[in-house]
Amino acid sequence: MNSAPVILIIGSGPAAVSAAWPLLEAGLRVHMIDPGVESLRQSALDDRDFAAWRHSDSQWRIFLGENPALLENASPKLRAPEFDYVFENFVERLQIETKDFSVHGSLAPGGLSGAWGSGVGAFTEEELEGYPITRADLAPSYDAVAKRIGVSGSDRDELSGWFGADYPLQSPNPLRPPFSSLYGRHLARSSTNVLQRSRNDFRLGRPQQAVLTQHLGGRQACDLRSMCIYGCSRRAIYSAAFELDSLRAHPNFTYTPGWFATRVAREDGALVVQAANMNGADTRAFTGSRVLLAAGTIASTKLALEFVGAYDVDVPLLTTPVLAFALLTRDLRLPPSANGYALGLLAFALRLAGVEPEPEVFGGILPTTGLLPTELYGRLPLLRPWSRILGGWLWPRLLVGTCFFPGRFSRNKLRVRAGGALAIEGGYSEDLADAHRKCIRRLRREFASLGAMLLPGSTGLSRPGEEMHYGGTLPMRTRPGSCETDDEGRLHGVEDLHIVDGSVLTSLPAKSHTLTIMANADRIARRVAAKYIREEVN
Amino acid sequence: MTTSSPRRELLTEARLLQRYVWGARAPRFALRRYLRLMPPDQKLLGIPTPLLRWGFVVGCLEPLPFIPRSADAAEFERRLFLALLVTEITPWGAGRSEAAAARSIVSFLLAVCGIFLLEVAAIPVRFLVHALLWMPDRAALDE
Repeated sequence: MNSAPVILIIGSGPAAVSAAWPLLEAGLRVHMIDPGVESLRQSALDDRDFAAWRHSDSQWRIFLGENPALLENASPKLRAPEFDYVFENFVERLQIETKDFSVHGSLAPGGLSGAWGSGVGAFTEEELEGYPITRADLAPSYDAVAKRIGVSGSDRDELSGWFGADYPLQSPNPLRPPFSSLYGRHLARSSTNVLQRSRNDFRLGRPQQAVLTQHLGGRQACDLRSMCIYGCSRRAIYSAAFELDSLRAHPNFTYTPGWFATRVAREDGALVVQAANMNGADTRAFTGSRVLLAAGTIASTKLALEFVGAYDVDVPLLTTPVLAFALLTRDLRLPPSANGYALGLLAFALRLAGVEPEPEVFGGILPTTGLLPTELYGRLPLLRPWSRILGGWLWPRLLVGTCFFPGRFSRNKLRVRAGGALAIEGGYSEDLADAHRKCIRRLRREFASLGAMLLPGSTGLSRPGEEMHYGGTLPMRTRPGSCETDDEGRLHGVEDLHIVDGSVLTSLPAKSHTLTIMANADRIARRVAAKYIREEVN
Repeated sequence: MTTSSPRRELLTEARLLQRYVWGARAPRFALRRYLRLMPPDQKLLGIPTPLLRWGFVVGCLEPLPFIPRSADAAEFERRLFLALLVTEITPWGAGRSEAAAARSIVSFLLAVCGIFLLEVAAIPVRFLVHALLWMPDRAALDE
């Protein structure tokens, strides 16, 4: 019988699977407790591309579905029926009350990665300022995670150093007009304008994404069918759920789906996880020599705060405010109707001069080929029939942009009430309005010089939390105080409970942080595994 | 009156909204999707159905953008958008959008000019209608 210690992992999202692998590789036993149940739902997706779906009578299954509540969401991805299961029951189960905050979370296998926009990037040394760890500490983990999930992007453009290209990259998806001409103009401008190059405060390049352009494991490469927003039947876009099968094949791995962790407590010196069955009233207790919380920022924070009895205490909840905008390129010919890749094709990083301390914002630009034109019809301030006529012409000629601000502009608060309910209050810092204005002005100027017009009236700032980039509730510090964690994600004075998801990020840069969450979970799990190996040797 | 009557009235209302938005009679099965997205006890908009048969009347009734509106006005807008959406996601709607996209830039610019003039001409009437029908009450504004 295997006598290796059992490590409990709560959750099955990107952090959970990233923590599981190093522990298993070190010979430890891992028991994953997941509220998600393997879905019995039938996916409506098949091999058809976006254009073929648009001429099908059954397209409503993909683009509309039967749940009217989905229509209330601002993001098209949140409205896609294919991803409905990802967000089901989260708010109700965690008893979340919100004020000025859009909360989304997941109890599904794979967590929020089931509906991931796929943006990745490693944090730079500058972005890790304030963390008790350095880029060198994370480098081996970035490498391990990137190899496992498959990252595509360029390793030789203006952004590659900024993203961190010291891990293997698959080639990016091909650029198509008008992206190719926009990027070509930028490259031509950068090569001739020495001042621009030396200033280096607006960088344009290819995004890094957890999207396959070459087959990896059982997942197939993207075949440019423009269905990225509505669901990819080829599994080209990573979801942690795809790794559950390989984890389950490991002899030291136990997976218990359908159990929602309600409480972590210490009983007779050992950690006990209390869980409730998702389909009934049963409860069950799980024990392990250590517990790794990877249930997602909001759920893990709740469990951790309850564990230390920190009720009615406000903790910060960082988010990355996002600005959306539309661009019209000067080439007004109808772009080729061929399908393509429908997520970000170009990315940019922009340092905002005139806002102290100078923040760096980050964004992506995507085509409209894989989105319904109704996204625009509803936004034009015209009578509906006319918005349809004008919007119908404009839509395929537009590019859609998103621009994220660093988490320091968010002012959200999370607290666990004495009865166990969660209260989240959203807000933005006072200087965001100024940064937002300056950002729009700069983007307008930069894109105008590349032959694209930022459409007046097309810019809008999201509600706090809408972008689902949550973190920083229990930040890692060199000397952690109350409701803070050490470099192994442990709350002050707690030896055997590690928090390994977004909760422990010390700060959120504008860049997507999922890869860093995964790398940090991998790093902490390696440290935990090393401890057991050391104990065994001694 | 049979129990299905309110649903039938809702269907008539939906068909008229759809005809206004699309300027033509759209596929019936799109209306089935519209009805499925409505709660079972959904009430009519409260606008007399004969009025909805006249496109220019519906245009005058459309709430103005950027001005506070009542819950009824928001519901009217929501249903107009729903009538647009359920039809867009039919092969018929997709074909219409593709045809709109394929128009020449000259015809697009002419449409922009025409629509701009009509929008401007309609503003006084729409403003009046908005003030009479769609302004939120003081309590809602304070909230």
